[in-house]
Amino acid sequence: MGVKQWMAPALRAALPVLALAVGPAGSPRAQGTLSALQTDVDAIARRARPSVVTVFAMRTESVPKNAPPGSAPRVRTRAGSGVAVESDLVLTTASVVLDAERTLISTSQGQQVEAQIVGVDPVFNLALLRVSSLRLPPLRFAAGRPARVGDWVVSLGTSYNAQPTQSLGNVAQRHREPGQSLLQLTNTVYPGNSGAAALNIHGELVGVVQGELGSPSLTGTAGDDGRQPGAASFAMPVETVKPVFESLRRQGWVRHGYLGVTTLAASLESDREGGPSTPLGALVEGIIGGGPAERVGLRPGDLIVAFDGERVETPEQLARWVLATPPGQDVTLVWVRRDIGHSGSVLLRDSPDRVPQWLAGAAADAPEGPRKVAELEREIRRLSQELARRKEPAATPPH
Amino acid sequence: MNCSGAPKLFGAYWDDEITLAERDWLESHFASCAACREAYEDFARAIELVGSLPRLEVKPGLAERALARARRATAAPDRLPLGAPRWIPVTATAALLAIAATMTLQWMGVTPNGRERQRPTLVAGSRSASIPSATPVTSVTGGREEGRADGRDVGTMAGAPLAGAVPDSLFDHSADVEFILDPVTLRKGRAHTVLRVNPNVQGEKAVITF
Repeated sequence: MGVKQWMAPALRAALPVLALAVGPAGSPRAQGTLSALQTDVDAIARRARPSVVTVFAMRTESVPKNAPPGSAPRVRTRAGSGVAVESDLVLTTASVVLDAERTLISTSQGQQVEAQIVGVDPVFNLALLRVSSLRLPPLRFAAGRPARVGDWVVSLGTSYNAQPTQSLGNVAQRHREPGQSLLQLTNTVYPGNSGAAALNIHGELVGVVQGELGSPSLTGTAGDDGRQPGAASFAMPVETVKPVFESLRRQGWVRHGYLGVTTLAASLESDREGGPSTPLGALVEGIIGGGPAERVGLRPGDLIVAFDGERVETPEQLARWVLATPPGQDVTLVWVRRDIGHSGSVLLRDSPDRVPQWLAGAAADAPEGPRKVAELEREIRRLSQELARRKEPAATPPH
Repeated sequence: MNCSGAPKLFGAYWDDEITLAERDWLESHFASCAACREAYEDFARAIELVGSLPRLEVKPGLAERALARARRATAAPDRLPLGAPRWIPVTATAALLAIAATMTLQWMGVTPNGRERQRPTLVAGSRSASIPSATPVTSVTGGREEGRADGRDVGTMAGAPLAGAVPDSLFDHSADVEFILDPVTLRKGRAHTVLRVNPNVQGEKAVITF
């Protein structure tokens, strides 16, 4: 066979291949910053999406007393997002799975499997689920420096009909409180995004999405779906999430700080009728015997106004800070007694309750009997102290 | 706090980023502790000394060069590796191989169609690969993906049977599904997720123990 004879068909066969190879190079291709951003975001989302799941938590509601006879109990389902942090462990928020009787997860592939609740912590609003029949690709916790204002964040979650949601934004602000902090993001979040993943530019988990600013039920001006989108969104940063996750995985609950006080709200009423009242602090109503509050010298009637240099306005705020502070840590309290300021350093102890009584979820965790007894014991202690306090001026001679 | 806690506050005290309580404590501690006072004076002198050093002029582009070098040395990439392959050398090699193959076939006098039927199927067993229906495919049996059980049809999601899968769809009960997005309050620059307080203890006069 002559060279020319085979060269011609060979070249004819090679031409389409050459055209394919050269074609795209000849066409203009976007190489700008925006296309690079798009490529990176796509790569992050593609890699992380299988780790983001939808969490369904079902609870049977008791039949109301005024319901027509024969009414069946209604099953309510709460839906949120979750993030696989280990191949069989999914992190979500406590508000999604609170009081759930049955929990399911649905993967990005549409697979639905049962999940068991390993632990729930309503103080940090986090919950850990175990999925034994499925292996999920876990997301890594961001190991470098904490997220800073301006850092890019990709949020991945699910919303109505378990449809995936994705949003790109930045850390707008970092809100710090004693014991915990929150990242304010410019990302848009959607109903069902509670427990969604907030990822950095390396595709690592920098936070767990909690929610957005304000409450639709409080504003009362929301649309049909009870929501005004576009407000600031918030995520719990990985520095707060990680110790809580480790504690939930290890023992199923989280250690909380304990002061040993019973408090009431104290506020200054406005001069105008119906005007806003100014919160003053946490008014000590009772002291639990042998607790840190007793050791530091707090007494009923004292008004606690500062915790570790932060102004205390409401008992709920003080309780949150105490609970979020790890036991064994020294904190400084400032209180007012008969118009005179006092301060003292106090070592917080371990909270005797895994979930504080005044938080929702206590009812699900503690049986009715022991809870009643615990409440009665507390009330007896409080009354005994009150009695002792009233007897005190009569018993001790004035200085 | 004692002497060991004081040095931790020096930086914040110098930058005036200290809380009022910390400032009060530190200043009263300085008044009573000569060692900490001297330590702080040393600290302040050192910072002033560094601040008073002359500024060095560097060659233009040093910062960029240093950053580029640091980036190369860092384990974590600054940007994710691009999903698109470096396709130009790949396609060029493919083109050369195709030319070489065609030339060899022509040289041997064998038509490409004559060999196609004997070519083994490389995509057998891969779920994601699309296989033309006309091509006979040797399927891999007994192959088991991690975490999945074979055989039991307990609900097929995305075409794959799965142990423990839930057959019924929840989305039929959309009226009873509440999609959660927690409210966060922002007051005086502080933000926190609204805790779900027990309904029995809500209100102004609520007594809470902690």
